[in-house]
Amino acid sequence: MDSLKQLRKMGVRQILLQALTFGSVLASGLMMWKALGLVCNTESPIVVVLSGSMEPAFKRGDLLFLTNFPNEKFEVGDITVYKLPHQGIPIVHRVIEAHDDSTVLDQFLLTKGDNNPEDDKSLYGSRMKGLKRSNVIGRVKGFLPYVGYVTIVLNDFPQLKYALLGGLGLLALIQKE
Amino acid sequence: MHSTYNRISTILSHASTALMVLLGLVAATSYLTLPSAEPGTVDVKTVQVYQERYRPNEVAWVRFDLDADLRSLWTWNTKQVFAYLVVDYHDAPNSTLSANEPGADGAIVEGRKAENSIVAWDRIIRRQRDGRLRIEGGRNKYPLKAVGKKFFGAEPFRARLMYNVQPWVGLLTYGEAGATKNVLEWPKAQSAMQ
Amino acid sequence: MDILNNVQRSVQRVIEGKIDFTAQKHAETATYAILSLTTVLSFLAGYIAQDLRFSLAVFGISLLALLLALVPPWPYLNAHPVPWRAPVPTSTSASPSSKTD
Repeated sequence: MDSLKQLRKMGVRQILLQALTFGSVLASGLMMWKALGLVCNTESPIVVVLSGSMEPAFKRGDLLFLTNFPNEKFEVGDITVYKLPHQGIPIVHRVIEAHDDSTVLDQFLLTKGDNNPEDDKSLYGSRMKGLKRSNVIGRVKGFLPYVGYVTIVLNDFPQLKYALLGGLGLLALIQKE
Repeated sequence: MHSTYNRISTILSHASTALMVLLGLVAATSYLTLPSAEPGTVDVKTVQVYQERYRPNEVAWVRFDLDADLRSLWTWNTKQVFAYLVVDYHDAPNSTLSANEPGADGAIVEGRKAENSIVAWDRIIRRQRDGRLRIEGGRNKYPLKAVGKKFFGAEPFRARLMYNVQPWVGLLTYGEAGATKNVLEWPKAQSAMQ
Repeated sequence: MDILNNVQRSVQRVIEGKIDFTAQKHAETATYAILSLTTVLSFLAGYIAQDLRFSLAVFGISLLALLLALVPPWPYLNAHPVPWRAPVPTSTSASPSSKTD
């Protein structure tokens, strides 16, 4: 009876310890993400390509590394990731027109997907004729193929996401050391 | 390393680290040993500016000759090269920048002098043997629209051939492969293109 | 019946894959050494051939070979079993530690 109690006590302690380890892994991941965002001066320093509009340069599932330094102007030919105010999903397209305005220190950009026949004017909607700097999340600096495909699969099949999360959690709880 | 599962997971986790190191090495060396393209020639032959009916902005069409060799840009880490012809010019002072309509931002400032760069033509080059560009009498793929409504009166323009090297893994790089030798004047608009 | 049992036991043994302590230590060092060497070699091979695909192929084949060599409990990974002491025949068998209950 006494030993059983002790065992249960140990169990709770063990479980809590596991939960703490799991939490610290998550927290350090988030920390690294935020630190990278700080260094690159962008809200999302790494994005996954979701559409084929930049093929053959970028395919679905490729990983892009972004920077958005305030003293660097965007130039034509740069590949930008931008988010429109009325749309949630960021878009990766190339700048084909850049109009700088020294008096208001802003830029007006027109973008186009390499694989699209038309530029993005129709995407912007009737109220916007061009992108402003504030619409742009960052400029693509680095490229790593395929690695982001996991997130696409997990998004397409949400059950898989829960199964994976549950499995990981279970593994973290069961595994000792 | 005591069980099958343990050995698989240890080896695979080491292997993924090793793969990242390998790709890092590839990216670093290809960035450090970056080739550049020999400067080619860019020649703008004709410029025509049109004022379409009921459209506020003038549109320009150019004819150009290109002669450039981008084959030197291919290394073991080159996925494709994006070549593009850029037209650069400054707007005339006091022209309005219509990219930013009053509804979108509201800030219309007098005396602005916008600096414009527009891609007139581009090409995705996927194979090294296609990297030899020789174009005569090429026409712009995209209409050059005067954001300040008019080209006439704007400062003379130049055109330059740029390239963007897209690696299999690593950093994207940019470079110039030729430009027009002298600046070119914008002509007066001809009215109503059919 | 006996054969079936034997097969089942050997399959279980392969899945579990226990190897001896010496082999565990060697497997650990070998994994580090071979993967590091593979990384350098596949980089050099790709750089010299100017072919990224070749580089990745060298890496992939080496990884497969490593997995094949170390994952199944081959006999050479169980060549150093722990020499247990022979059971001591005693008539007063109860050990003192089990008495404390």
